[in-house]
Amino acid sequence: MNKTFLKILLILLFIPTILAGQKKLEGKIFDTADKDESGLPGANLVWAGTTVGTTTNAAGYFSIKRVKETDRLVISFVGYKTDTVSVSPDSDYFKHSLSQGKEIGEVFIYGRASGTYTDRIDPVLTVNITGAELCKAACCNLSESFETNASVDVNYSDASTGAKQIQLLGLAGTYTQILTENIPAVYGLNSAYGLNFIPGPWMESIQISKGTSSVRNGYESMAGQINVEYKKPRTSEKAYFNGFISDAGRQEANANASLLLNEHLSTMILAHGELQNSNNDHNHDGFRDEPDIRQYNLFNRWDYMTENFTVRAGFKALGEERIGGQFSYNPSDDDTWNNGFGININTRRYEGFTKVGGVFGKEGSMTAGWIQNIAYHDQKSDFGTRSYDGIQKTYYSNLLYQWNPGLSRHNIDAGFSYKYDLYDEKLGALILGRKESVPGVFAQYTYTDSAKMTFIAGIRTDFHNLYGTLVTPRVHLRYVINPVLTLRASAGKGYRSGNILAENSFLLASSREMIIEDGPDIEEAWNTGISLSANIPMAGKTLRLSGEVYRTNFINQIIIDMDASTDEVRFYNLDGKSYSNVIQFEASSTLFEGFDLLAAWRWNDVKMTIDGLLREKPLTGRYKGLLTASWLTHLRKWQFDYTFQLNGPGRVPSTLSNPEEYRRDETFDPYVIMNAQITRNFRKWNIYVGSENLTGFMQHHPIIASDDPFGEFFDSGLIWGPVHGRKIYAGIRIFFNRDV
Amino acid sequence: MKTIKKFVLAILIATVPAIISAQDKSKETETIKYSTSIDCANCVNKIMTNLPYEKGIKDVKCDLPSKTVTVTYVKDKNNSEQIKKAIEKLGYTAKEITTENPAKKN
Repeated sequence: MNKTFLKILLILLFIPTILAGQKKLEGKIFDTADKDESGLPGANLVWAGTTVGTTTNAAGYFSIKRVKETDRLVISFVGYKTDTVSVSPDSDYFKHSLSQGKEIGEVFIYGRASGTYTDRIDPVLTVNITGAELCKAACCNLSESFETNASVDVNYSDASTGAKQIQLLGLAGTYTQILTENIPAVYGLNSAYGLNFIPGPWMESIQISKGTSSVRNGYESMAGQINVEYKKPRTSEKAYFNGFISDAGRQEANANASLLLNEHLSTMILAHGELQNSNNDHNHDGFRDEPDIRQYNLFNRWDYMTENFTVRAGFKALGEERIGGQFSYNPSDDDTWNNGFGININTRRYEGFTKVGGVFGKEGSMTAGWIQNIAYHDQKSDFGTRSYDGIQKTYYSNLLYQWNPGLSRHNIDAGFSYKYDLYDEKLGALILGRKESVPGVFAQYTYTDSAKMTFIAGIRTDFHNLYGTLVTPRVHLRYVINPVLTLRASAGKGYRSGNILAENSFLLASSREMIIEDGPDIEEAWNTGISLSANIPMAGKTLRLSGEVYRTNFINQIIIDMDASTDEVRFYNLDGKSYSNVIQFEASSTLFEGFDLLAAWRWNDVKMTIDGLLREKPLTGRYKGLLTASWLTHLRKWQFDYTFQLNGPGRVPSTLSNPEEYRRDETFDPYVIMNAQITRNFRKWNIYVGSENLTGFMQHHPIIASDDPFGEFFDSGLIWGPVHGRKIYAGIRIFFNRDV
Repeated sequence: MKTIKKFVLAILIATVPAIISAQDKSKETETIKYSTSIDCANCVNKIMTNLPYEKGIKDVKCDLPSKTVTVTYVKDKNNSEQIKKAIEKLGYTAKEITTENPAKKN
C-alpha cells in the first residue's frame, strides 16, 4: 500500500524507479481492452486468505510483499471482473489485465484505449491526452493538440504572426503553467511562440489539470497546468518518421530514433523540421493569412536507470524564422518605409536539463529527486518600423524529497526550489532589463486511502527579489462517494510575474502605442473548483459523465486595456474586480466496438475592470460546445475522426473612434469549426488525410486598415476567430516498434 | 470549390483499397479457431496489429480467457498452415482446434 504512494509521487516526478527488495512481487495491472496498457490506477491486490494487499498507483503499477501462505493473488477493481491468479514464487514481475463487466461472453471483443482519460485516483482532476488522441488530428505542435479537448481553447493571438494562445477557464494562456516533464517551459520570452516549439510527434502524452495544482512545481498555475511528456528511449519506437503536408503551404518532417546501449543506459534523438510558404490570402487584404515559417528543432536525451537510481539528461536546440505581414514585404530589403509592412521574428533557443532521482531508506520509504534546467532564449523581431529584441537566461532547480513514515497512509513532501531569470529587452531605443531571482521552500502532506479518499494540503513560501515574500497555500481532495461517483475539490492561491512586452509583443503589429503604467505588480488570484464525475455502467458499456465549476478571483492582475483608446494598449494593475466563473459538463461513451463519442458544453463568465468599468473579457467566447466522434474499425485498419466545435459569441473592444471604414462590430457571433480526419493503418505505417476548418469559416477583414499599415488606424490584434480558411492536409507515419 | 474537389479526391483515393477489398467478400471464406499462448492484453494487441495484414484475412477475434484466436480468411488467398506460421512468427504457439465448414458461409 505504502510503496504505492511513494511510487505515485515518483511517477509524478517522472523518475520511474523500481523498488528494491527481495521478497516482493512487482507488476502492472491494466484494462484488457487497453491496447496501450496504460495501467489501471487503484486496482486492489490481495494474497488470497490473507490481509496482505496493495493497490496500483496512478500508472497501474504495484509492489506487494510475498507471503509464505499462498501464491494466489486476488485482483479486483470496481466495474471489472475479479481475477484470482497463481504467481510462481520465482517470479518477481507480473503483468495482468482485468476485463470490464461482470460477464464474459464466448468471444470477448477487445476495445482500445480511450485517447483521453481522467485519472481515477489523482485528487487533482487531470485529463490525460495520450498518443492515441494526438493522432486524431494533424497535431503538428502543442498549440494544435487541443482540438478534441473541451477544456482548452486555442486562438490566434493576432492576424499576422501566427502565434497561438490557449485559454483555460476562459483566462489567457499565461495563467496556465506550461511544463515539459515538470520543468517550466512556456513563459517569459517563450510565451508568445513557445507552444509552436513543442512538436506533436515528440509528445508521448499531455496532462491537463484545471485549478491550482501541487505546490511542488511553483506558485504559478492560477488557472491550471499543462504538462507535456516527451517520448522516452525505453518506451518509444526504435525509429519513427512522420511527414506532413498541407495546402496552406506547410511541410513538416519529424523523426525520432532510440538506442538501448546497455541494460542501464539509453539515448534518443528527436528531430523536427518545418517549412511554411504561405501563399494564401483568403480575405484579399494583401497580408499573409499565416506567416512563412522555417523552423528546425532538435532534442537529444539520455537515460541511465538502475534499480533504485535514475538519471535523465537532455539538450534541445531550436531555431525559427517567421515572416508575416504584407506579401510586398521583403525581409532582405532594409528600406522599411517603402518595403511594405513586414513582421520578421527570429528565435534561437537552447536548453539543457538533468534529473536525478533515487529511492533509499528502510524499505524504500524515502525518495529524493533533483531537477535542473538551463535555457537561453534569444528573440529578435521587427514589426513594421518597430522592433522588439529580447534575451532571457534561465536557471531552474527543484530539489524534492518524499517521506512515507512507517510506510503508512501519510506522506510528506518537502523541497527547495530556485528560479532565476535574467531579461534583457529592447523596445525600439528603449532598453529594459529585469532580473528575477526566486528561492522557495515547500511542504506538502498527503493522506491516501485509494479506495476512499485522497487529501493533499500544501504550502510554499517564495522570496521574490522584486515582489517580496509570496505565500501559496493549496488543498486538494478526492472523495469516492460510491463506486459510481467521485467528488473532487480544490482551493488555493497562485501568483505570476508578468512579462508584459514578451507576452504581448505581437500587439506591435498595430498602430497602438504600448503604455505600461505605474510599475506592474505581481499578479495574484484565488482559485476554487469542485467537480463530480460518474462512471455509469450501462449494458456492458460505461457512460462517463462529469460536471465541474471553477472560480478564479484576482486580487491583482495586469489589465491589458484596448478599450480606452484605439491608439493605445495600456497595461496597468487591476483596480476593481476581475474574475472568471466556468461551468463545464461532459459526457462520453463507447457506443459500440471502436466507436467513441464525446459531448461537452462550457459556459465562460469572465469579467474584469477595464478602464474603470467591469467588462466582459474581450475576444473570448461566452460558451463552447464540443462534439467528437471517433471510429476505429474492428481490424484496426481504418480510423475516422470528426470534431465539431461551437464557439460562443463575445465582445470586441470598441473601434468607434475610428473612421467608419475602419470600425468593427463590438460583438462577434457564434461560429462553428469542424475538423475531420481519415487514417489508414498498415502494419508498420499509416497514412492520414484530413481537413481543419471544413466549412472554411473565417473572421472577415481581421486586420483593420490593412490598406494603410503605417497609418494611425492599423490593428491586427482584434482577433476572435480563425484567420485561415479550410485547410487540407495529408501525412504519413512510419514506425518500427521495439518488441515488448 | 477547388479545395472541396481536392478533398473529395483525397477521400476517394483513400477509399479505393477498401472498395477493392470489399469485392473479396464474394469469395469463399473459412473460419479457424486456434489455441494459442496469448496471455496478456499486449499479446492481443500484437495479434490485432499484425494478423489483419496477412493475406486474405477477413476477421480476427482474440479471446484472452480461453487463449484462442479465431481467424476468418479467404480460402483462395491463404491457408491454415500459413496463418499458424504468422501467429508463431509473432512469438506465440498456435494449434488449430476447430474449422468451420466453409459451406456454412455461403
